[in-house]
Amino acid sequence: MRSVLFAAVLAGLDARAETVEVPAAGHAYNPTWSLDGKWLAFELDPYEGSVDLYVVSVDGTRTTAASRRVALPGSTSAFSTQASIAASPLWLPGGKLLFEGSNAGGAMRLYFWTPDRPQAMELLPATKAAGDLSWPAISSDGKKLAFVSDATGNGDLYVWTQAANDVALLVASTFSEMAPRFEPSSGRIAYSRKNLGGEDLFVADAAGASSAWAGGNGDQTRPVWAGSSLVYFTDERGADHWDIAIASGPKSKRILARDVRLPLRAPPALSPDGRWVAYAVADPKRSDRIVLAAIDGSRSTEIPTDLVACGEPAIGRSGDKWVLAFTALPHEGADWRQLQLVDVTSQVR
Amino acid sequence: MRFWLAIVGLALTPRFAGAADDRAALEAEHTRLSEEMRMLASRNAWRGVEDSYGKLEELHDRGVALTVDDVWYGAQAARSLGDLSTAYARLETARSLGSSPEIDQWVEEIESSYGRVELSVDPHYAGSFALTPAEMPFDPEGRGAIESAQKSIAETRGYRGLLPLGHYELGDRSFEVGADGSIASVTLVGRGPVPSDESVAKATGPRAVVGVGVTDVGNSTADSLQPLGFLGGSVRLGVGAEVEIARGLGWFAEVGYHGTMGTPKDADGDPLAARDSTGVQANVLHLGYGWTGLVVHGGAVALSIGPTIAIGGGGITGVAEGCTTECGGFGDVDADALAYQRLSGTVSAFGGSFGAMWQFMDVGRMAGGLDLVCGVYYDGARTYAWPTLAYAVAPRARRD
Repeated sequence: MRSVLFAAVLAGLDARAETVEVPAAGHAYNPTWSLDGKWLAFELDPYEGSVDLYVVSVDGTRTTAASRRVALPGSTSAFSTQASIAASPLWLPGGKLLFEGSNAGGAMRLYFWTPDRPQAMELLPATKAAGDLSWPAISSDGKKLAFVSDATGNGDLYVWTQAANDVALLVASTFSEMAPRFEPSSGRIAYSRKNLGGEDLFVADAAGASSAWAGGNGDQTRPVWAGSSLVYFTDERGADHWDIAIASGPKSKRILARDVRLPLRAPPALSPDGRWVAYAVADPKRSDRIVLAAIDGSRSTEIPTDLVACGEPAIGRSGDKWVLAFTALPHEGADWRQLQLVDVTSQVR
Repeated sequence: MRFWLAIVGLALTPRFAGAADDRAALEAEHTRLSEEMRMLASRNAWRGVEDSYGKLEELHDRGVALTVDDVWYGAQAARSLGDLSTAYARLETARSLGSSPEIDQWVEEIESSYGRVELSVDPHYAGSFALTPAEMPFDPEGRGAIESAQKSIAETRGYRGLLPLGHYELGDRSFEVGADGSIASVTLVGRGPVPSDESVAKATGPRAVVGVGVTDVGNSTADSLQPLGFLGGSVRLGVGAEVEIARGLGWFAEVGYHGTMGTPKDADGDPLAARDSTGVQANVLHLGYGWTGLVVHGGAVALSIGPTIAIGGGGITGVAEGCTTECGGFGDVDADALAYQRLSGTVSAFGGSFGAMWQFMDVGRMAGGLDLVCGVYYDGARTYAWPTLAYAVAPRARRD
């Protein structure tokens, strides 16, 4: 109920959203900022069985080059194309990109890409990590990678260590573990576990010993660390009602926002400093805006647009600007969701 | 004779078929392999792509022109398998066939991120000679190049190729791979005798063989009571061991069973019909054999040659014609009776055998494959000539 106490601020923006041009048709989803704010990755789904991943270099709200498609090896070369999946981008320090990828009918694997290469490369061979790999998460120093493998039939958590170049099982159970995230300060890993029809949050230490963090009715999913607290989506009020909650421990949950529009794959969109969370509203009548809410609950601000069905927000710091990326339909009845950029510097300072 | 002609014919068939290849057939195979390579690449089956590319290179040696696309996939396969040096060489080949921005970009990226090295470890060097980077890179391409170099050094004590820029240690030496285009050359030199290298498996171990073939039991040349010769089907089972005595050369010993069974025939070569209630007993030979000699390993082929002894016995229906009036007291015996006469006895023979084994599969630390073995025994009265085609397991050659 605290959310109703937010001091809502209608910003009265004069800033207009800048549309990112894409050289192909499809719904834009899941924009993800690089750590230095110079790159933006996003998915493009043409609804033809494939999902493409694009990257674009950004300076503030301006793109500085055309969007580039990130090609999987074997699926696409300069000479041929086949359907494939490339999704869930995760930026590493130095402008390097990890993502989930699958060639037509093949296993889902993790791929590594840098802007100076024509094609991505599989990060871990099947001899090191078997099965379908998903949910990559990188430690704050960039030296450890957590991911989920279904090699045993259930999703289990594994950690690859760069220095030793080895993969170790961290958490395994008869249920499916998902969505790992490293805590920046301690290296603990938050994750969700699907069990008995619901999904709950756990935190594992470096040895894999886990303790429950958030549970209850419905699903608590896609955690992301804000300091030592977890921000996550929860539908404990019913399947059609997704809220954003924050919990600093098993019994300290607080709702940040109610009835938000659940992104396709992304966790709650935190600002790089962890002080704000951006979300879209589930109510179609209010789908023309993105809301920024302070994590401490002190205030919120709305970013109005002349677009519809706004969603998939992500906040990045590009140069000296704070930029909100999101996707939306340009108007009712439009064919494809487009990627938009808005300067929100004045709203989050 | 017909059998031997068939063997010779089989051996020559590929040569005749190769000569019959025409340009269209080679191009059709090129198309098939290119499509196969794309299909395998779309499944991330890079080992298969590499195999297909190897076949394309064989076609290229026979005059088929590869496309940029072929070489592009070959480069991707090499990179995915960790062999960046080969990937780089293939990219250069692709450039010569018709470049593209993607190829140019990749070549430039390799040249700016990697340097050439020549690393070798003297056989006399007795210390540890592991290749260790200051930091294993996150980039899978760089990791693959380092792992490939580490494997090469461990197995062959040498590596020539590309490594990511950075600081490394080889044994007790450290070196830098720089971006200035120079070749980082490091050699670890030692003194004293060459230490044994446990990391390289010797071509030593057991061998076993099971096969089928034919045995031609010749007619007797002795002036005594002897059975008719015959041609029968045979089986051969053997076990033994090999010991490497020099690189690529070993000594082997093998013992086993060589059995032969054939249909009794009359003087005209027609099968004997059953007569009265006695029927006709098949010709059988049960021989135990011992074979020893040298085995030479060359790639996937192992050649064995050496003397053989065979001891055993058997029973043959039919008496050799030359003896009937001069020995054994048969006198003017009815030829029909001689044809049905059963003779049993023992065999002690000596001869030699030659085997050629094509090793095409791994069986643990051993190799499995097809083994064509031929031999001849002589027991003082007749020869026993036989070929067998067998499945055999034996030590494989060193892979360096």
